[in-house]
Amino acid sequence: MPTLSTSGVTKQYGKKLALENVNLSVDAGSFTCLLGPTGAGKTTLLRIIAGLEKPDSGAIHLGDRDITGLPPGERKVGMVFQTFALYPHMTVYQNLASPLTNMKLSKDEIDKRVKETSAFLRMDKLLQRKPRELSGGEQQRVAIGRALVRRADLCLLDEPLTNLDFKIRSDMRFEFRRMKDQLQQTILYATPDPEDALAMADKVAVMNNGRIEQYDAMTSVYSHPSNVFVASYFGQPAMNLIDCVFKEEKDKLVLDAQSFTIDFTPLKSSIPREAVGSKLVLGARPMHLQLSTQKPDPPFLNGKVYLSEVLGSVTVVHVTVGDVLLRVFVSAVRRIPSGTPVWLSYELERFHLFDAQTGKAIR
Amino acid sequence: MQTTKRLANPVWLFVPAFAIIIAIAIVPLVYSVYISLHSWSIAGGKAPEFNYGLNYMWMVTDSRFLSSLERLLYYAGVGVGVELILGLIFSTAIYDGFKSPRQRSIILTLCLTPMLVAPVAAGFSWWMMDHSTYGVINYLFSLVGLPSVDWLGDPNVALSSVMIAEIWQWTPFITLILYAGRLSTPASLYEAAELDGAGSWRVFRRITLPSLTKFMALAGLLRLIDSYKFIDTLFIMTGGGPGTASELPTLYIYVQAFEKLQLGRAAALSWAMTLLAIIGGNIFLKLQERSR
Amino acid sequence: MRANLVVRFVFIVVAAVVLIWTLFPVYWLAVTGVKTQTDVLTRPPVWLPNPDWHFYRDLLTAGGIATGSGFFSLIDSLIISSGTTLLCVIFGAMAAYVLSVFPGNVPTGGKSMAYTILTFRMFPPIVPTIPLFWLFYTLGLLDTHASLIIAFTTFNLPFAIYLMKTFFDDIPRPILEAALVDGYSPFKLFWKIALRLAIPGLVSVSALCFVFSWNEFLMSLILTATKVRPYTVLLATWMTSMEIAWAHRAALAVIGIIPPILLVWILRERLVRGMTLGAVR
Repeated sequence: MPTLSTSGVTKQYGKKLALENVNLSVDAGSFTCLLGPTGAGKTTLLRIIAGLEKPDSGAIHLGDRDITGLPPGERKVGMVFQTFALYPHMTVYQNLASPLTNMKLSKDEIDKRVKETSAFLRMDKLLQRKPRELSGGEQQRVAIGRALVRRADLCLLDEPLTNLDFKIRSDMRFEFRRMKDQLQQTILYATPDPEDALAMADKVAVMNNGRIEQYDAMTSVYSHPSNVFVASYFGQPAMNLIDCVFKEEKDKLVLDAQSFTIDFTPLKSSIPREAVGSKLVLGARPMHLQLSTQKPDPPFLNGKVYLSEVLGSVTVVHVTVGDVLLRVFVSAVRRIPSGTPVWLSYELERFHLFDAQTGKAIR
Repeated sequence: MQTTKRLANPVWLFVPAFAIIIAIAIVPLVYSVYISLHSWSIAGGKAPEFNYGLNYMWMVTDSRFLSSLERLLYYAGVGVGVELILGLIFSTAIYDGFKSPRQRSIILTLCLTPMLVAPVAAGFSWWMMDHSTYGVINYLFSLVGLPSVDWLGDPNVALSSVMIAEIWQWTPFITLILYAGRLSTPASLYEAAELDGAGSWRVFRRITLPSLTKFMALAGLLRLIDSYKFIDTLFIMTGGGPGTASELPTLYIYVQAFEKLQLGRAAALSWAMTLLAIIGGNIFLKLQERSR
Repeated sequence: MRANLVVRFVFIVVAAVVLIWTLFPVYWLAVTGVKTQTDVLTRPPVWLPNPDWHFYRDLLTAGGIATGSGFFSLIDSLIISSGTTLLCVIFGAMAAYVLSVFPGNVPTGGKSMAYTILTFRMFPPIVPTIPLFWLFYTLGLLDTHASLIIAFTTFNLPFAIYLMKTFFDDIPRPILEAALVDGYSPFKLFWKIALRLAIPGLVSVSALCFVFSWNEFLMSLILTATKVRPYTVLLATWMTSMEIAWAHRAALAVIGIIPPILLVWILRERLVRGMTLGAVR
């Protein structure tokens, strides 16, 4: 099955530059996530790929077909809208069959495909109902079914979980994964929620202000974010970001964050020369800091507890180290009184370093 | 939404309506401008002669036309004004007098009846009621000691009698718009007033009235534009008489065209009135835009 | 504003007065229609006569009275109104659809087109009727049903289009976009989706079209003579004939009122938008 590629897609709405020179290449059979805050350009990109909007410049290719000038119907792309957009006057069956009726298939073939798709999404009992008789989750599945039934080369989903109840979301994430695995459907999924990407995506394109900040496998984006924006987008609670500078003291390379210092000498070889002396930002994920109430083996930082936030079966402990407030993740319930001295152990490899000005990752 | 060229252009769906309007409306209208610049009396069977806008100059000095304009000012101004006031009273009475929406809906629908009656039928009914001898109105007057009025025969009163019939027929239009305006006013405004303990009159003055102003303006404008368009009632009740005492410009156009057979002059008159309509229409649209 | 009982009472009284004012002329017509001529021309007026139904029977049977059968007039009106409504709805819906869904394809741009169309509506009917009279005269179409149907359709179309466009505008855009993605051509989209979803609106517009045509007078008067005579023209003609009893005229008027009242009563909830000429949605 062909891949989707966009090259140099740009779109401007009046004063706002919605998309700037976007180049994206989606692998066949993969689950790719367009991740980013509202206004990042995800929906715009999706709509351009679908053919509902025209790009100001750039081209879209599906496999070896140039689909840039084609109307939506001829692109052979399925789309699931955020508001579901089901046809209110048609039954579920007719909604599912609708794209097929425009494809010159025989009645039997249409029937077969509709039944297959509705079976896959476990909607068999709902076929004769009208959309207004369905719950939100059921309407969602009909919308998905309508996109799937085409066996299209590409399936676009525009923030499908936004309009659903919180509790249904994890069920639906499972469904989407199933779509990809069992049907080998290529999926391009737009969402502002990093949880969606973490749960389902093979590859993620993190978008901001009309540009793709980083496009890589999900695990890579998480463990090796290319800039501060991407790094802080993932993680609940968010990554700790601390201003610092490298200082060379004789043979040692020390990271000075004013409130504390970290000896980076073991990793000296992986730090580029230009980084020394320039302002940097240290990134430390809360789960990469180990909290203990007794002094551990070095390396460690020490500080005092500011607040212990118990969230269900885990705790986020806010610790003051000098002037800096760090969030530390503890996977147990621990209520530590404020003011208690604590020690935070760390592993150097787990730290991220970013240039303070550009935000780009150094390591 | 945009369509790329490969899609069958949907414009052809638009074309029939467009074609009809152009052929049957635009073309004759343009032709009528042409006629208005000619002297053309069908009676003599003569061909039209170009007269360099003589018709327009005639029009501006024709006393019959000018008096009809005066009457129009009175008819439209007073008529619509009364309709607005009555409409306000009626819509408030229906809306605030009755609790259940079903009751209100039924009463409102009943109140809309005059709009549904053919103007000629309404005109006939009022003609009967206005009849100087056998009419209901004079009978009721006699019961309370008032003298009979020759509603349709007295030149001073004739136009007003027609105006009353028009008011009867079109007040429901205003009532409906204002009622719908009440429906769209947020209930929270009224609830806040209730909490503040405001009396009914104050609520009316401070909340109801201001929130309805834009609807009244819209409704009033629509009615103004319509009021000189339709002469059905006038035609049936007085025919412009006695003499020309109740003649309105639009009726005069008819007279010029079909009684005096002066098509050129009729066309010129038409365009004068049309200009008024266009100006009025533009104002309406701008108002509507702003209210969105 | 439900608080004050006295005020509510006053309003109810006012509403009662309003109802009497509103319905009296209609009642008067209805009642006159069953009076004998002597009952009509008496003073004091007769409020509740012994009904004499022969006028109604006259009008509703093809026999009718010699001076212009009311029955055939009503039929004429029916033909003209139905024809107009049909054409208005068909062409109007198509045009409104394009204006609403594909405004970019229309030459002068959807918005200014709607604007022009509405301005157009502001003309007094007499203005275009005079040249139309001449046009139909030369085409030999005077005094036919067709002439009135064409004329009425033309003058109803702008308003019908404007109104129907608002109904098409109400369809959520994502549904139409989903249809495009599903491969519907613009025409199929119209036929299978947009039209179905706008049906309540179409019904309202048809009702209003019908009522307008049914009640129309001036154009009918000018464009017809003897062969075709809508009931409104007949009624006007009778006004100047001494021989026609008031009761006859009243009966005709009353029969003429019935179709619009029926239509509006059935559709009352839906007609607000149309009856306020789009001022209120």
